[in-house]
Amino acid sequence: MLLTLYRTEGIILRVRPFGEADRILTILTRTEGVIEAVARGARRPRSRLVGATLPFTQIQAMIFRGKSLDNLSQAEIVNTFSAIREDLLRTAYGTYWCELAYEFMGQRDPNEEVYLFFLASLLMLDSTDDPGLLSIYFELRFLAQLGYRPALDCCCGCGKSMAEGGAGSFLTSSGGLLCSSCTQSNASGEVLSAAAVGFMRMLLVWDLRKLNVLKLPDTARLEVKNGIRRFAAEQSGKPLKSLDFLRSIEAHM
Amino acid sequence: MFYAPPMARLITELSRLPGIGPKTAQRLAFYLLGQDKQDVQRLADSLIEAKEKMSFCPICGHLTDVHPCSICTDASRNASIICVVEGPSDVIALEKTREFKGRYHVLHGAISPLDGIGPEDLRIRELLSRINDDIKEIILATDPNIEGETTALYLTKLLRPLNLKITRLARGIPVGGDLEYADEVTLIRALEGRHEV
Repeated sequence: MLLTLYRTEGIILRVRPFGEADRILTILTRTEGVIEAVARGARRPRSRLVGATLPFTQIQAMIFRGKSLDNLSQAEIVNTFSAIREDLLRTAYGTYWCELAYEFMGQRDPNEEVYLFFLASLLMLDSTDDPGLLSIYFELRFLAQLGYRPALDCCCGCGKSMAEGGAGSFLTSSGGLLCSSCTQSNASGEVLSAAAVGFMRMLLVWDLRKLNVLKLPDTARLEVKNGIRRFAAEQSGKPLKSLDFLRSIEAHM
Repeated sequence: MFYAPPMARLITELSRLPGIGPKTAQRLAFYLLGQDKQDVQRLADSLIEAKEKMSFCPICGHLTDVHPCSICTDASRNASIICVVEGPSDVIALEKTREFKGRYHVLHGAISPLDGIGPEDLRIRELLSRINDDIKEIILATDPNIEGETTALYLTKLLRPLNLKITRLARGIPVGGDLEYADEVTLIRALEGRHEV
C-alpha cells in the first residue's frame, strides 16, 4: 500500500505559478523520481515555503501523495546553489539541465544514481571556473545514464567497428557515428573530427571530480557541444526551449 | 441543457475568467440576475469602457487611458531615474508607497527560458532607446525569483557599459516573516543590507 505522506530529498527543476498564491513544482527526488507537487501559499512573502520553492534549490521535503498532484507539506533548504543564481551563464546552464531532466526522465521513475549525478553536477556548477566544459560533460553523461549513450564504437549504419581515434560523422537521429562509406550515402550527419570523437569517448569515462584538469582544443569542444545538443533535441522529439537562451548568453560571454 | 441559452452563455463566459470555476461562475450568474438592470448595465459599460480606453503608454509601457501616461508627463517627477518593473501591477504597488518619485519602465514579463520567453520578448529595446545623458540611475525592480533575477542579471550586463548607476531593490526578511525559514541567499542579502537603529 502506498503511504500517503512520504519524506524525500529533492532538487526543484521547475516552478510555475498556480492560482492566487500557489506554485506547482517539478521536483527531481531521490526516492520517487520526477514528481509534480503543489506548494500552497508559496508565493506569499511570509510563507514558510517561499524560499524553499525556487529552482535549483535542494530540499528535504515532506509530501502528501495526491491523486493527480502531490502536495508539499514541509520543506527544509539543504542547498540554494547561490553562485548559480547570481551568475547569468551558470543560471542558463542550470536551466538547460533542469529542462533535460524533466524532458528525459519519466515521472515517478526513481533513479538514485541519476539524482546523485545531477546533484554533484549542480555542486560543481556552483564553483567551477569552466561551466562550459562541465555542461558538455553533464549533457553527455546525463543522457548516457538514461540510456541515450552515443554509439561511438561501431558504425550505426553498417555495424562496422570504428577504429579508436578515427573521425566520422555524427548522426543525431541514430545517436552514433557513421563510417566513411555510410557517411557518403547519408548526408544528414554532422562530421566530427578525430579529436572530437576522442574527446567524446574520454568524457564518457572521465571522473567528474577531475574535470578541471582536462584541456581540450576549442574546435573539438565546439564540435562535441553542438553535436550533443542536436542529439538531445532530436531524441526529446521537440525543441528544447531553454537552449535558445543559453546560446544567446554563450554568444555574449 | 439545464439552463436557458442566455444563462448558459453567461455562465460559460464567466467561467473563462482566471480563478473562476463552473460553480463560482454559476453563483455569479445568479447574483447578476438578481441585480437591478442599471447595476448590470453599469458593470457591462465599465467592462467595455476599460477595454476600449485602456492601452499601454508608448514610453513606459504602463496601462493608461492618455498617451503618454500621467507619470511620464508629470514634470514634478525625477526624469533621471527609471525604475524597471515586470508588469503594470508592480507600478501600482510602488506608487502606493508614495516614496518613489522617478519614472517607470514596464518590461511586460521576465526572462523565463523554460517557457520560451527570451530577452527579445520583453520591452528591453524600448528601455535602451530611452537612455540618454539625462538618465542617471536605473533601478531594477524585477521580482526576487529566478526569472526576475535572470532578467536583472541580463539587464545589468546590457546597461553596465553605459556608465549608469544601476541599483537593485533591497532583499531581506519580510515584515512578519520567520527568520528560520528564510533561505541562505535572502539571509545573506538581509545581513548585507542591515542598518544602524
